[in-house]
Amino acid sequence: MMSFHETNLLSVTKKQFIYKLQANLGILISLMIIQLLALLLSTAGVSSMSVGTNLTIINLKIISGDIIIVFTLIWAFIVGYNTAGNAYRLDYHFVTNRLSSNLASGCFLLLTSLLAGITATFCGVLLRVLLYFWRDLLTTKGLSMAPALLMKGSYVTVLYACLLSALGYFYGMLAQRNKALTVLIPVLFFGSLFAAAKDTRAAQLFRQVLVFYFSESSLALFTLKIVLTVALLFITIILFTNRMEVRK
Amino acid sequence: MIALLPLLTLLPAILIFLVLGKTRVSFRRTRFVFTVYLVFLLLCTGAAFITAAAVETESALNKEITEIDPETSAGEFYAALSEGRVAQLPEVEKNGYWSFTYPGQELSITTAEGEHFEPSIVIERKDINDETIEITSYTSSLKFKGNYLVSPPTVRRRGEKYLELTNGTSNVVTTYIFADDWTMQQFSADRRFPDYHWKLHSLLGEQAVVIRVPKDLQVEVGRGFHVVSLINSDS
Repeated sequence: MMSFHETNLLSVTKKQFIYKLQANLGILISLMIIQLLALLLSTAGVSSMSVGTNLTIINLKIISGDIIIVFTLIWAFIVGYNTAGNAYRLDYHFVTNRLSSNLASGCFLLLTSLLAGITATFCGVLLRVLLYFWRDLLTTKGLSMAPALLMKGSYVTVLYACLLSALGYFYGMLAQRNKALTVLIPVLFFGSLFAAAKDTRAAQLFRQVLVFYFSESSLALFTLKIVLTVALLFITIILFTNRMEVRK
Repeated sequence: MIALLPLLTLLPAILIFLVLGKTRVSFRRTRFVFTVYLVFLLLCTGAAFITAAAVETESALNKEITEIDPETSAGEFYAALSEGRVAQLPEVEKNGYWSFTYPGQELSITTAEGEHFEPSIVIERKDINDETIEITSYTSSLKFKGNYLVSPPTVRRRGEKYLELTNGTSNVVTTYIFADDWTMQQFSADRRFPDYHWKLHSLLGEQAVVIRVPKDLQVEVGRGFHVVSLINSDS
C-alpha cells in the first residue's frame, strides 16, 4: 500500500531518532555496568612503579580513570556496530529512506557518546573518592580535579567515543553489505597490529594513524580531526548505502 | 593471576551484553536508573571537591611530594653529616639512640658477617673521656602512616671490644597516587610524572649513624661500612 502523506527529511529523521532512543535506551544500563566493572578493575591501579634501597621498597600504584575510558570506548564501538545492524531491522516501521535512517543513527550515536564520555570521566572521580577511603594514599593531591580539567577530560572522551561509535557504525554497515567483511576487517586490523610489532612500512603507517589522533596536543586541531573523520565516515556510509535496496 | 584479570573482567562484560541483548528494559525504568547513576556521579564529584579541600590543607606531605628538590636534598644531607651538623637540618629526625658505658681503650665496629651496612656512618670524637659511647641514627625519610619509611638499625655490644651494627628490618610499602586520565594529559605540557621515579627516591631519604666516642678511644671500623667522615679525629 502506498502512502499519500507528504513527509520531509527532518521530521522523519526526528521520528526515527526518538524511536531508536526508545528502542535502544537499554544499552545505557550496559554502559553503567561496564563502567562499574572497569572501576573495580581500576582499584588495583592502572600502572605501577617501584623504587627502593636494599632495605626499603616503595611500590607506587597509579590511579586514574584510564581503564574506565578504554572500556567505555569499546562499548561505544559495539554500540555503533549494533546500531548499524538494528537500522536494517527496525527502521522500516516508518516511511523512510537510507539517508534519514543514517542521520537518525548518527544523532543516536552522538547522544550515547555524549552520555558515555561524561559518565566515564565522572566515574573516574568516583574511583578516586572510593580509593581515598580504601587505600593508603601517599598524597591526596589529585583527589579532586579543577572543574576546567574535568570539563576538558569529558569533552575529549566524548570526541573519542564519537570516533569509536562512528567506526563501529561504519564497520557494521560494511558487514551488513557483505558478510565476508565481518571477518575480513578484524583480520586486517589485528594483522596490522601484529605488523606494528615489527618495523615494517605497514607498521609505520599504523603508528602514523595512531599518532595522528593520540599525539595531537592542540585541542582545537584534535576536535577538527575527529569531526572531519566522523563526517567523512558518515558521508561514505550515506553514499555507500544510498544505492542499496530499501530492505534486504 | 594478574594477567587473567582483564579476561576475568571482559567475560562478565560480554555476558552482560549477551543478557541485555535479549532482555528488554523499559524506557522509563532505564531513564530512571541512568538518571540516578548520573546524580550519584555528580554527588561523588561534589564530595571529592569537599574532601580534597578539607584534607589538602592538613597534609604537609602533599607539599613535600610535589615541591621536593631531589638534586639538593641528598647533597645537603651528606654535607651536613661530614660537618657534624646533621641534627640541625630541619627535614632530618632522630629515629634511634643507644648509649653504652665503655671503659676499654679499643673499640671495633663490626656488622653481621657478609652484610653491607646500608646507612653511612660518622665517627665523632668527643672532647672528654667520659667512658660512654653514644650512637644516634638519623633519617631524612618521610613518615608514612606514622612510621618512617626506613627502619633504624640494630645496635648491640658483642664480646669485650665489639660494637655490632646491623641493618634494620626490611620494609615494603605499597601506596597509591592519583594521576590525570590520558584524555586530560594529552593536551597538558607535563605528561605523567616524568621525574616521579627520582622524587620517590628522595622520599626514602637518607640514613646515617653518628657514633660519638670518648676522646682517647681507639676505633677500628670493619668491612661493610661506608664511613663518611671522622670528626675531631687525627687520622
